[in-house]
Amino acid sequence: MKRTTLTLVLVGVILLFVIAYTYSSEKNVLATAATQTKGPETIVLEKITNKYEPVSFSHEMHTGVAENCAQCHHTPPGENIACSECHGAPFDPTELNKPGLKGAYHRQCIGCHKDAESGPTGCTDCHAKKSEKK
Amino acid sequence: MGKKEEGKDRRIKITRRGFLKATAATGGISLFSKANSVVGVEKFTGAPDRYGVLTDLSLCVGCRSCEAACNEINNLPQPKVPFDDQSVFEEGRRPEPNSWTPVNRFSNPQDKNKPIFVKRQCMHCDEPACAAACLVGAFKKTPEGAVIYNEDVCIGCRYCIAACPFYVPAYDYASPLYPKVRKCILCYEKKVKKGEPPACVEACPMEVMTFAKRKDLIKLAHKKILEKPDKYVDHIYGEHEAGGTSWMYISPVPFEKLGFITDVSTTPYPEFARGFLSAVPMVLILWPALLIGFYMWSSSREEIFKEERRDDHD
Repeated sequence: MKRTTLTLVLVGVILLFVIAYTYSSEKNVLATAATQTKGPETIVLEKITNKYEPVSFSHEMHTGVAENCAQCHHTPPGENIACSECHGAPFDPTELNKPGLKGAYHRQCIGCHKDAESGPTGCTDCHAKKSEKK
Repeated sequence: MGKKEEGKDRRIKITRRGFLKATAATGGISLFSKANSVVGVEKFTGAPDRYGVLTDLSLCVGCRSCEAACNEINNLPQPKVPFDDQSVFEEGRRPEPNSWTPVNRFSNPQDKNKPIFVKRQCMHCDEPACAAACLVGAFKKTPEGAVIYNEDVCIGCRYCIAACPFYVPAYDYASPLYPKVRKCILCYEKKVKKGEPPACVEACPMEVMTFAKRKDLIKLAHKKILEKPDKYVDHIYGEHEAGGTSWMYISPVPFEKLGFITDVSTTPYPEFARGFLSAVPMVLILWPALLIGFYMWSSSREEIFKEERRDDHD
């Protein structure tokens, strides 16, 4: 009986340590992500193409420019997941305050490019119009 | 003797009491009759679950995708200047018969590099002045929130154009044979009736506009302003303007600097005419009734007087 409680306490303490460690390391990842993990080189954004061709997004170039991963991967902290994991297409009317995937992409790209006063902001600067190609 | 009784009978028919009763009855009927449900007299504040659109002016980049989508869904002709040409921003534009939702550019006093783009279109008032002014009931506020137009009954009087506090409806002067009033109808038949967002809202790459129930949008707008008080002006344009509209805006720049009409009354415009208009049917029924009653009363008196004189002669 005593032995089992002891093991339980031990396991609990170890678990706590593990959680604390992962949490702190995640913070570390966040701070030095740009240098530690670079992620994919290029990503083709093609999930929601309609009138324009898919965008070939150079992730590599942006990791070099961005201060840290969180500048783009804003939430949840430390988890560098794709935009489409959270932002649905089309826009979810039950979550009015969260932009859909289309809005998330454009707000992120154009917003940052305008703030930085560099990078493309026009429609065809990133993706060609489909009808133009035909 | 018999003749005298006849005369008395006739006098009984139109006694003062009877006359007042009849007058009161006609007045009552005219007050509560169907005549009162005429557009402009009845209150049509809109269904509680009506839709709306919230436009966040901090997000618009002036790509004019909304304009293109509007022309496409409404089968409007292609403009002379293509939609991807931003030279149109050099001068201000208003809604036109073939351009129901022009976007205009305004300088941003906070940041010169980030001009504010404002998309204009029908505000879809909860109590539309156009509908109240229309003689033939061509305009209708639908339960879904759209203010729609029936061109088949329109007689072209253009009272709606004069009545609109936002100067939105445009007249199709270019078609001399069948000119119609043209304005945004919130893609009613094709989209909003089915609960889908209008074409412009769907087309916007920045998701500047949010389509949802109006009451939810007001909550959302307040939340956005509350969360970022430094970013937004503490005002939802359209929450109370003209008694409330289905299309609403929030902005980082005061609305008066963005071409918005800010002296719009918060009283619904039909309210100003309601008192007078509801009296019109009553006057139309009461006044003739009063005159006819007076004529009958005086003519019967005259006849009795004549008969009495004849009796005296006898």
